Amino acid sequence: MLGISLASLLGLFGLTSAFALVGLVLAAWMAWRIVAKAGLPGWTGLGAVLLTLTAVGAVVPVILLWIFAFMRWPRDGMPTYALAAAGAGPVPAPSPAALAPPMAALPARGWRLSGTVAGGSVSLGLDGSAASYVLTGAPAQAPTDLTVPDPSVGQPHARLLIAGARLGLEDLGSASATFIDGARLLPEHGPRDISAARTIRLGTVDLALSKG
Amino acid sequence: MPDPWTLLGFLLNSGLHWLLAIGGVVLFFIVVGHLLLALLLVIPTWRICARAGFSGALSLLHFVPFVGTLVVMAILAFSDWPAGEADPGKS
Repeated sequence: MLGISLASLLGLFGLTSAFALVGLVLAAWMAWRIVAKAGLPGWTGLGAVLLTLTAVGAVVPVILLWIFAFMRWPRDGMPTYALAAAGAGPVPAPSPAALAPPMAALPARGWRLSGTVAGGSVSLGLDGSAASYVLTGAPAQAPTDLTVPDPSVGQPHARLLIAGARLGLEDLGSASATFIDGARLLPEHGPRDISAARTIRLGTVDLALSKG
Repeated sequence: MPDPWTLLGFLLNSGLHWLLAIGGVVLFFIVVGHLLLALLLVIPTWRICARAGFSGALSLLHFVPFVGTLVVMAILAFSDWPAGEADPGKS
């Protein structure tokens, strides 16, 4: 009787260990992919998870998770990024510095943002006469200010950047958030290419993006 | 079908009450420990999800015992990040 109980118990532990091992291998693989997407070497994620096998146990991986969450990711500063919302894989795009000027390369036709605000409709044209424009809820103070008269839009809210035939968008820390095709844009993301995007949202205002 | 009160009286009088008490305490600490650990994981994961472009609420999956952490990791690992990913060739 005791032998059967002991065998059952050992069998249970064996099964549990097998599940734990499979889970650990899976977690290590996924951690590799996650940190790689953030721009870090994949082995750092794998190593962090495998540390649970060592004497330091789960404490160090948890600390590393916190560091990973709040550190600066290479992805945010890299000159390449992807706009998954546009259905594309990683796409080369200009860095913030590269988004500045070249006036000679400006497109012959500009961009247009149009949508509905609290008091009616708004249509904003970007003729390419400037390299950057500020989207704000306040009345325009400068020629490059584009007013979206809605209380949910920050003052200022976001910056539009033109580089060649590309249009970029950067959140300026607005409290009411910015979205590109439904995906949240955070200030730490820096400028994002929205050339292939359909709509951007400032606060509660949806603006359709079109060329022309 | 024995009367529940009779069964409880039997358990309490048979010396098994110590086993029940210890089991209850162990279960309590397991549940509390799980919640504390999940909370410790939810906060950074919330931020990671937000930076990846997902809803931070995804991180609440950590509260699901056993598989919750693996599910949230799988979502982050195998789906396209709405906020963009690093170029794989650069890492």
